[in-house]
Amino acid sequence: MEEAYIKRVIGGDAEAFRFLIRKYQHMAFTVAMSVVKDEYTAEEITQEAFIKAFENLSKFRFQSKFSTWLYRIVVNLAFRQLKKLKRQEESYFSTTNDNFSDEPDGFDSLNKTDRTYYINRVLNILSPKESLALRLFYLDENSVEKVNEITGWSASNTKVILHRARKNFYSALSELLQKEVKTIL
Amino acid sequence: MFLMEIINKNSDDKLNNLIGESKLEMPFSDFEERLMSRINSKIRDEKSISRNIRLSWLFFGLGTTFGLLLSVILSSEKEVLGILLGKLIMPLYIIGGIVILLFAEQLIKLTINHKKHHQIN
Repeated sequence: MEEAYIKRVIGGDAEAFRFLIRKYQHMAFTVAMSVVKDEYTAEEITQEAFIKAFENLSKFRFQSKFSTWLYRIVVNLAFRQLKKLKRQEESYFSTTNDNFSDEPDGFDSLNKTDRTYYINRVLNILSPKESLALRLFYLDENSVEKVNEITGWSASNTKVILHRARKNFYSALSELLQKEVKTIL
Repeated sequence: MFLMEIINKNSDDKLNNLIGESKLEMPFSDFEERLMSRINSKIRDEKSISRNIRLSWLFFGLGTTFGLLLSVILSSEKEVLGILLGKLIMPLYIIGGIVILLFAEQLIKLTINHKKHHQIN
């Protein structure tokens, strides 16, 4: 199905590209947001990535999934943009807390909208690499190999980033919820 | 070891559920339209560049042919304003040759770059 649309685009039917935009715009935007943490910049990067993909579609060899190829373009553009903006790429946490707790108590009792809000806030707090690794691995359900392919990291590097990201995610979530409770009280 | 695997698996499942709720929606509803309009404008530019390159080759060919014809005429033994036309031929050959080579190089570069970067259409 997807392959047919790609072939149509290569054959000169630009309108067929809409199918790919509709299918991947949200995840591409999510990936860009993980790195740049700003909606407008992420949207710009997503647009650039789609245009780059369109221009180079004839070079796509169908050896990997289109999504993997597209997300790799998004990741490269996002990190290039981040470098330009000279933002700090360091983690929110200067040191990782080894005694991290698991999911904070009572988090399950929150409604879905609140949970989504807090999860996205935490992912915004985490470093670009950490939130990117978590979203690619858990949200898009990629294997470590696929994450490597998209990000260009080595397998060991990906595992280390994922390990640190899991710890920092729970710590940040606990910290954020504690702060919220204090504010309410 | 086995226990650690179970703990990791449970932790992974929990994170799977948590992060699963973090997928963002593209907040700009006109994203698709804006993107398609940029793509269509790129295609239009592309076509215009291709047409200009074709025209450049055409005029390069015409210019070269005209130059060759002129050099044939100049190589005759006619005299204009007291100067033998045949004597002018060598410097004109050199200048013409350099100009043709420079233009040809530029055109070839342009054509190759265009084909390399814009393979669609």
